[in-house]
Amino acid sequence: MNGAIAIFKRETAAYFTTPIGWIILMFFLFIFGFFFALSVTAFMDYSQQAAFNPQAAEGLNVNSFVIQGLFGNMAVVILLIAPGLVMRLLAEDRKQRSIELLLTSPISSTEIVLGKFFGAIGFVVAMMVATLPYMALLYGYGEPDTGVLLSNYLSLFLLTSSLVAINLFLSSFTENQIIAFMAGFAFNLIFWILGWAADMAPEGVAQDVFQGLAMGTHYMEMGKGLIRMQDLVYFLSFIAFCLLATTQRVEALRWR
Amino acid sequence: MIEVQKLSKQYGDTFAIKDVSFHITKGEVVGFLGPNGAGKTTTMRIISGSLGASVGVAKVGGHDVADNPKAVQSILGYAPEVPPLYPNMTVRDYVQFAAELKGVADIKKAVNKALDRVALQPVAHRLIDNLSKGYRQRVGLAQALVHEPSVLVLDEPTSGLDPAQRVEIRNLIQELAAGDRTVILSTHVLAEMEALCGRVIVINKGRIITESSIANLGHAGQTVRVEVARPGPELMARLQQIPGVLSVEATGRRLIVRGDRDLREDVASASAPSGILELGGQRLEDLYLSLIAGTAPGMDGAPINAPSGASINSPSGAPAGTPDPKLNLKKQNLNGEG
Repeated sequence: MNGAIAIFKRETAAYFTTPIGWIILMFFLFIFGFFFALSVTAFMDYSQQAAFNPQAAEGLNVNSFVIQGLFGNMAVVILLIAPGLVMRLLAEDRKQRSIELLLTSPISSTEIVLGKFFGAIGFVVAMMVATLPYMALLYGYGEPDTGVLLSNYLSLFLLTSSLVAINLFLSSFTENQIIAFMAGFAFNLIFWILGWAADMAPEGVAQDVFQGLAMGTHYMEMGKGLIRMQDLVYFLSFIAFCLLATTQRVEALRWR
Repeated sequence: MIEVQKLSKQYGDTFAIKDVSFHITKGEVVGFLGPNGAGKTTTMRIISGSLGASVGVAKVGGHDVADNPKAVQSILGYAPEVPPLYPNMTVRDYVQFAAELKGVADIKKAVNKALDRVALQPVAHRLIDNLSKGYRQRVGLAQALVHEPSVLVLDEPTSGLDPAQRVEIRNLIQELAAGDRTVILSTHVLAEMEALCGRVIVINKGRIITESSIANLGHAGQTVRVEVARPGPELMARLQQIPGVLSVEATGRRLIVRGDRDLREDVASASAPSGILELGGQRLEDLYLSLIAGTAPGMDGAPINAPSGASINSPSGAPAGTPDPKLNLKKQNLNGEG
């Protein structure tokens, strides 16, 4: 696994040595801050109204109002950010022929894919760590439920990892980063809105299948603070399947 | 050290290479010669494990590339024509990354040694993006060398470089080839091939045309170029009377005499009364072009994709198809059989 570790280190570092990483980080933090401020301001407005109208106070808490609202909005933003993060991983390697270095080194295709995947995940972790000051503010002025907060972070992390995995697979099909980005965003959107298809589908197996496949369904459930086995299995098996498919794709590049 | 048997690579109905076979012993420096699209890079990529063969076997150090690519790649360094670089890395970081990928034990020492060897220490801290083409080629060589491979595969290492950079890289390859390292090298520059390689494999349209040492490739003395001060019919007559002469071409003061044996001494004697200004053998470029066209001395002139049975004639007068051991010209079954 030395090869995977070497690629992981290189890819994570590459985000910080190229403008794309900083631009994505800036965009992510700006949007995160925007939604955070919006949620907190709305929560304060409702809290003031609740002081005069006790009925309005029912169900008003920082967990559902600020945390869930914030992470719900961020999921949609991640649909756009993930392909931006991943589009260069294999497409750029193919374009600038650096893939030859990887393919002629004594490492397996699995190591290449794992190194690339965790390289992007390393940056995702850095992005999430950068949002912690917002949460510190929340703790400073309120009493958020740590369990709910952690499950929201976990769900955002798993969602992003799943999108990174499928976008990595798509990135292996082209040398053009723009195509990789557009295809990635399209697939992310499809997996997100499968839940809408479930709403329109007739009750029964079709609806269950759409609900089961829709990322949004699993994400929202975890956002409530419930860490269910079926949601964890969904995200982890989705990631594993995409990485396996990408490994096959890299193997095909090697032997085509 | 390298054994290639009946290697073919097919894309749809098109063969990039077909039935390519050769053997390279340890310590040999072998040149791959051929025009663009001849199949040199395809063969090199298959040997280095970055491309799979459709049919055939490639073995390096006794390991089958298809079955055990890791074992092959740990003893082989490959420098493609376009160096596989990450422009946003510094030279040192990149070579270190290559060392990590190749499982080098003492990375710091290996990186410094590779940088020293290709004279990259002065620019080790610079971004690859800011380097000249010559330096980039060196970085490509450094990644191929960093794990001290016993086999080096270099695809057009001097492509696109200016003459000074070419000489630098050529000297570097000469240093790398010293000892018992096996080197396969492809280039269009024939002088480079002559300077570096003990043996040359000529490939065209995916098939090997001939294998030979550079000296033997020219069928020494069979084509003689002479420039005289006083050309005339007498000189033409003297030259045509030389036993073994097949043709004499005259363009002004310059004459090209072709025959089926070493004509140098006789052509010199016959030309002396006319005042020899210059006497020489066939230019390597001409030889290369005639080989590619299938009209080199000793070849029957048949096109490369000629029907089965076309073969290279023996220059020593032996029956067609009988290999001449001196010239090491292989009988070629040009439709790829045998």
